[in-house]
Amino acid sequence: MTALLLLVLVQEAVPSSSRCMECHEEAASDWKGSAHAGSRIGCVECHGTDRVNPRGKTQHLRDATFLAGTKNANVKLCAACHKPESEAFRKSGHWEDPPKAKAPLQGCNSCHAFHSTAAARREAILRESCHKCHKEGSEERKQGEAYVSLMNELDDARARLAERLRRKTPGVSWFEEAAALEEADGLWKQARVEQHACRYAELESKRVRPAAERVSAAYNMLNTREQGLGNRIWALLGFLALLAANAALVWRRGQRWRQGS
Amino acid sequence: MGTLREWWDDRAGFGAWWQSLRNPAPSGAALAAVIGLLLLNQAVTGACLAAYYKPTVEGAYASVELILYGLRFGWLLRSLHLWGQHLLVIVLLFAALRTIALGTYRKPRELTWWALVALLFAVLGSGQTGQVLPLDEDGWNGALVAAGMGGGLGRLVLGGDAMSDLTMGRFYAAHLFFLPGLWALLFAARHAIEKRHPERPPRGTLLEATALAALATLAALSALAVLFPPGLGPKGSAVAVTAAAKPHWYLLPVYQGLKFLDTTTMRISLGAIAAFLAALPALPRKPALFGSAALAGLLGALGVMGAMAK
Repeated sequence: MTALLLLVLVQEAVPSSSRCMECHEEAASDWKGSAHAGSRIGCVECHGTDRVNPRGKTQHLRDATFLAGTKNANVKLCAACHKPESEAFRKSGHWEDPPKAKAPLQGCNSCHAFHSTAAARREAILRESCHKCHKEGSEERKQGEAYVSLMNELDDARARLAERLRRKTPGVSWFEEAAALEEADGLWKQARVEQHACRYAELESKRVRPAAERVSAAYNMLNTREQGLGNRIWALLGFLALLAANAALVWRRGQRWRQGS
Repeated sequence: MGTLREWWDDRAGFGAWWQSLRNPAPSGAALAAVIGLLLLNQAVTGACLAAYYKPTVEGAYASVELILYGLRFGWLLRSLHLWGQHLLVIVLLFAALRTIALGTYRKPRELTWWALVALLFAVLGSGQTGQVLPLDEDGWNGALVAAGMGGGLGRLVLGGDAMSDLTMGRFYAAHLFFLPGLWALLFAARHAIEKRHPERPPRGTLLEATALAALATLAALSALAVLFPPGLGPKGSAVAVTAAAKPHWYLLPVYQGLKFLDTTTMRISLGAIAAFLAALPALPRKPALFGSAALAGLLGALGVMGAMAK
């Protein structure tokens, strides 16, 4: 009874992320500056709480509320917030439940760094994760590379159109083009979710290419309209010439009147 | 053709009017033509803009965006309207300074002078109320500053404690009806009184004086409007009134002055300028001349303040 009481007394609940970071220094250092840190998603938001026994050999007591991020547990863990991505991933050929011990993909953290969550870099994932198994010349590798390249082009095109839309010129309509960018952004966001299923050929035809076509057409249309502004100068010159002709007529009439009187 | 002309001549007196254009131009005819053309431009382009503008907090900015970017030649309407306002202020300021320099505000031309000063203030008021209407950051801030300057009347200007559709209705009505009504009245009065006490003897022909002045004004206005169409600032809102929001150039001295003076002092200063301009004809010649020099100095100082505010 005394031993049990002692055990309860030395146990300490860990409700706050800052308490975790006192021991898990490396994870804490990765986490600081991450996207999750920016959104105030700390340790307990993902891993839950646990009790620790600072004097014991195994410090974590692994309560039911505690969730360590291992194997497929991490898909479930991330799914709390990233549900659509997680569901797409489950549709991919990489998903195994439970995962085989030697399966190359263990879940989200096979591609994404957990604690230092930054915006995932497509090239880095392609090189460091996909290329490990999908060798040169394989169809999957070709599709993945083509998809990454197209998505990069779409990123550039969207940024270019957004920049062009910020520079508004009076008389140049941009409403349809802004709507086109919004639509393309929607398709891009869908692609970013659905890419976790790794069905790149389908994504390319249904999402990425239509988005790229809309963005490119909108950008060209804005430029064509802007070029049409040159006509304004000619119209102005014509109008000024008309005014000058009128002034000459007035002047001549005045002279005639003066001579007449 | 001949019959139609005769009919028109008989009914409307067109021939007599055409003949009157041969008469020597009375003093102020060219200036009246310039101001008249610019006021007409404001009325016509303003009426066209009003067909598309929505005077509500929710809809104002989007309706101006539609005019500027979606409506065919909407940009030209707005550009002519804004440049017309700038040119009106320039012409009226020039006319006022010229009158001061020549001393032609004195007896018996006091009424002409007062009408000119009142017209200038009415046009400045039109500019200020007009700037609020798009509800971009400049406009939003302009309404709040105008309400602040109104002191106890601030609530009346805003129609409450904060910007609302009531505020928009007030600025809209003032800009479209009260102020244009005032300047139409002042312009007609000045023109009529000018004839009674001309500044100088008539010369040239009326046709040349008025038509050439109007054509030159139209040329300047159209060139400025086509070459430099004004854009639209970021959308204003109650939470995003930025320090970058500024009034039109002619109110920059007030904007800059408000950084150093409280609103009461600013109200007294503006009242003093208006009182001095109104009292100018009553002042003896020498003090008035001294006053003119002081006014020129003051205008210079205001110009420097305006330049600093840029």
